[in-house]
Amino acid sequence: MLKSYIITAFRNIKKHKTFSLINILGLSIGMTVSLLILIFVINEFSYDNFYPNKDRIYRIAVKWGQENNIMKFAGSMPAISPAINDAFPGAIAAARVLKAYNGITVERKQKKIKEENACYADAEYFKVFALPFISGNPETALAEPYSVVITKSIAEKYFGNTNPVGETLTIEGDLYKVTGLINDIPENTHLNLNMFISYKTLAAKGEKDEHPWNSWGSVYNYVLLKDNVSPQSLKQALGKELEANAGEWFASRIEFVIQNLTEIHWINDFRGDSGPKQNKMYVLVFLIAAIVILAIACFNYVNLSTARYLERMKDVGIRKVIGANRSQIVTQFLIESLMITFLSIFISFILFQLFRSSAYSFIETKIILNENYFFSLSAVILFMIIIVGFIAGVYPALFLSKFSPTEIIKNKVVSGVKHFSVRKVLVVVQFIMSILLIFGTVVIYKQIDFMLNTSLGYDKENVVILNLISPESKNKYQTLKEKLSEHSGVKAVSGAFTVPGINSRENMGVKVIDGSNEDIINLQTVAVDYDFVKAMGIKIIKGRNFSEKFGSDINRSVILNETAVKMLNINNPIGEKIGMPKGNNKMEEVTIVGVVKDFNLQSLHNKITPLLLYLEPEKYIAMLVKYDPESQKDVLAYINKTWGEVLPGEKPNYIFLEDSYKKLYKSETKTEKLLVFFAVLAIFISSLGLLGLTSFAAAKRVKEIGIRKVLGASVSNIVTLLSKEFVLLVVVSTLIASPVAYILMNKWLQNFAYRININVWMFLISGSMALAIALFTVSIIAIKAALSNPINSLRSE
Amino acid sequence: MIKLKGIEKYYKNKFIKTYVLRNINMEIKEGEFVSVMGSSGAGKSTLLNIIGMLDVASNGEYLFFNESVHKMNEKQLSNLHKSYIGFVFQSYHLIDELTVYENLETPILYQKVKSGERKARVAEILDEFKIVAKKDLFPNQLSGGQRQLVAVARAIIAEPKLILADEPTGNLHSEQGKEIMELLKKLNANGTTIIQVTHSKENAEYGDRIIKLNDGWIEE
Repeated sequence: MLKSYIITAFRNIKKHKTFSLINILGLSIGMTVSLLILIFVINEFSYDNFYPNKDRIYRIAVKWGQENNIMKFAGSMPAISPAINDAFPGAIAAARVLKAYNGITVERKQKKIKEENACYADAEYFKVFALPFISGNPETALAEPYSVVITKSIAEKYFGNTNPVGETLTIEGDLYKVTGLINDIPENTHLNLNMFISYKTLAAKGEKDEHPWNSWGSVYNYVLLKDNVSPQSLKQALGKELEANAGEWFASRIEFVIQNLTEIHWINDFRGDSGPKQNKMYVLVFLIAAIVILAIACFNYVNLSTARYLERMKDVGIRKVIGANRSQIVTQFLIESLMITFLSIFISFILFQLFRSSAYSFIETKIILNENYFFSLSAVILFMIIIVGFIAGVYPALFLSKFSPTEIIKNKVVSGVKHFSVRKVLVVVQFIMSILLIFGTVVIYKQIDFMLNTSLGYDKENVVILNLISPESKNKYQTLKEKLSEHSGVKAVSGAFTVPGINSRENMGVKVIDGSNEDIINLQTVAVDYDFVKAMGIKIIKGRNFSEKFGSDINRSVILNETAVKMLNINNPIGEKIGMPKGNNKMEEVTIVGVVKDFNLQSLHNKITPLLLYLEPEKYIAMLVKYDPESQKDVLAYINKTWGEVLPGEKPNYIFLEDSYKKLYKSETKTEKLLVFFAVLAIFISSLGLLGLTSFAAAKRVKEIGIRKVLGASVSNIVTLLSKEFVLLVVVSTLIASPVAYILMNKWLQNFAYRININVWMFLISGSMALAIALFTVSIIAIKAALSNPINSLRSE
Repeated sequence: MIKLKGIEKYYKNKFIKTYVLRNINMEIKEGEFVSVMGSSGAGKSTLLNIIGMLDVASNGEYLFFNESVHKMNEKQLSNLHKSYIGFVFQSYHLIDELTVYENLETPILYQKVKSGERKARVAEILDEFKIVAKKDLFPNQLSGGQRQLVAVARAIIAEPKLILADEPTGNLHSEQGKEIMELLKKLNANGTTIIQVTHSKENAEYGDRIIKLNDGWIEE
């Protein structure tokens, strides 16, 4: 029986080539996209999922600040983990991890290699993260200073195949004992580590031996809670501990955030976080896009299958007359749809293999190829065959098997009102989806265009940013500045702590010292050099720029932006004195010497913040060089040369301010590109379906067309006759899609403090684009039908 | 075998009833060969479809081997027709996508006959109809007469008690037509009941008796 089903299905597929081709093409594209996306989604959700007890492991992060000025940090106070281990019975263990950000140099025998993924970890680390040891004792491995636990790949690098436990390694010049060997940690983790040095080593070396409650840096605190202990109770306990140790003022500005291990991959707004991050929304959008594209392809199958009912009816009728049940007929159709799906997934798999690496590198995701990957790939493929095969097949099968044999045998015209409206609805849904995607693309394009071209209050052209990465470059800043300024093409050079596109930010609470107001106001503070205002082309609207002529600007003068002046509520800012914290939280008196026009150091997602510029050479992390556009080449060559002279062996790490600014919208630009891609696919597959439907309609009406032509209808009459209905459907789609598109895109635009308005022309563009494509598709068939000689169609009767 | 009492068939269209069959009373015994004649639109095919359980009468009683067909639901009807009745049509109605062999095999495939027995029965029929050489051809590779031959072969492969033939020779040359009629006669002689619808007086003569329909009424 099955063999007969398969043979019939295969012959049907072969016989109706157009139908099969359209379906297989559409489904292959749809399934390739879905395959890529589903594997991506599964990969993203796999992060940190391999740790035992992952549901009970939490990281303690902090929020600092009040009301509208809150900053979030992934790191937290080093005092936390020891405190939890001492006094919080709800926890099994807590451990600190401090990554060795600049790498560590590891030596053994002839080998001397810089290792990038090393960390300092508390003795309890392997209690929290219960990674199995190949060799060594997890209880005691990190208990002593100068101990190190290494992964298998590190062990192989330095020790070959011998057991490294008990051996020694030289790290940064000191001798360490290898106390444990573990398997390599899977790559899908936010903590990609391969060497664990005991945390006590830091104290032994005389660094960071304190457990402060009132400051924090890059130390992460992780805790494994007991069953049924809520993270909330930990948060409360830590809050009390903090208040007792750091005082009420400090404690009132801190909120602990208890993050589950598996959530960390999705949290991307905490400073100093570790590992690759992913935006859940982004993944969700992808998932929806995959479903939409696949649905459009399935709809084609449904529409084209049911459109063929006249052809298939006879076959169904005969089979029923000679004894087939409805269920046997349904099975026949399902097998056919499953076979089409099977052929399509085969092509998809080839396409998937071809485009996999470029697609994933485009969305900057690393798909981890382990046994899980192959398992999920097979599961996804199987899932897709079944889902698509059935979704596409069930309705046509039920619909086509319904006909009663007499109607069919007698070749009576079957009233097709009901199924016909289903087909119309599906076409409308397809075009709604396509129009939504087109509309989304248009809005995102306009918003990006707006953000890149709107005035930011500074001049982003002809400025190059030189990152001061190495300590040497920071030390030689003055020399670099003097040398670079000598070039005639260089107009201004300034160091800065914050530049657009580089994620560094400093806030301080300042207050006006005139006795009227004791409130501390939080401002963003930017450490700059004398020529910052000049290099950035910022406009001074009151007072003056910093100047060396006055000799006293360092530590004594500041410049505010308009928003800051407003927030501090000062009427005549120039000469006004304000207090700002210096060193050990002591307020120092500084004078406002100038006010600049508002400028936006961040992306336009954010409102302009109140800013304070002050001179502080120690804080510079980058240099800005403003140059004459005509001598750009010379200046860059000069920078290269000078950098090498001042800092032997170092190369300048530079980026143009314009590019650095563009980088702020990387995610939007990427979304736009992807949306264009999805929109093109959606409209392409929808048009394929339309092409099929029109050709069926034309075939069905071939006699009518012949008669009309004999009676004197022109080509355009015939084209209108055939196109009218589909064009109407696209118009209906536009009408339905528009409000939905408006709501969705308006919501997206809320992400931006400065944004475009959605205009009527955007709807018109999306709608007419869809209409034009649909019309074009339909016309291909309609014109062909209209041009055919009526003699041929009429003679065939 | 078949008893029709007061069978009527009409189509309702906005309160107007259009009658196709009116007060049909007839009995057909097992082993008979009956020809139904009448002009176009006299209701011949409708009568045949009702007898063949492909269609349902609007009024009246239909007894098939003393079972009340008019009281059965669709599934029972389908089972009854499947196991007792074979059809032959004017336009053959072979399945275009299947070879002669597969066309013959399909009815018993649907009845879930085991593979070995299926093969034997198809081989037997192919042999009997002398179409072994054609078994791997598709219907469109055959002449009209050959197609109808295959259609008759397909109709009897499930060994029905009754064969309903709707103008079986309508699309054939007289020579081919004769061949088919001889074949039906032979099947009848072997015990199969046959009801045929025909326009041709000559073909009607093959039957034991002729029923004439006129505008839905039986002409006595």
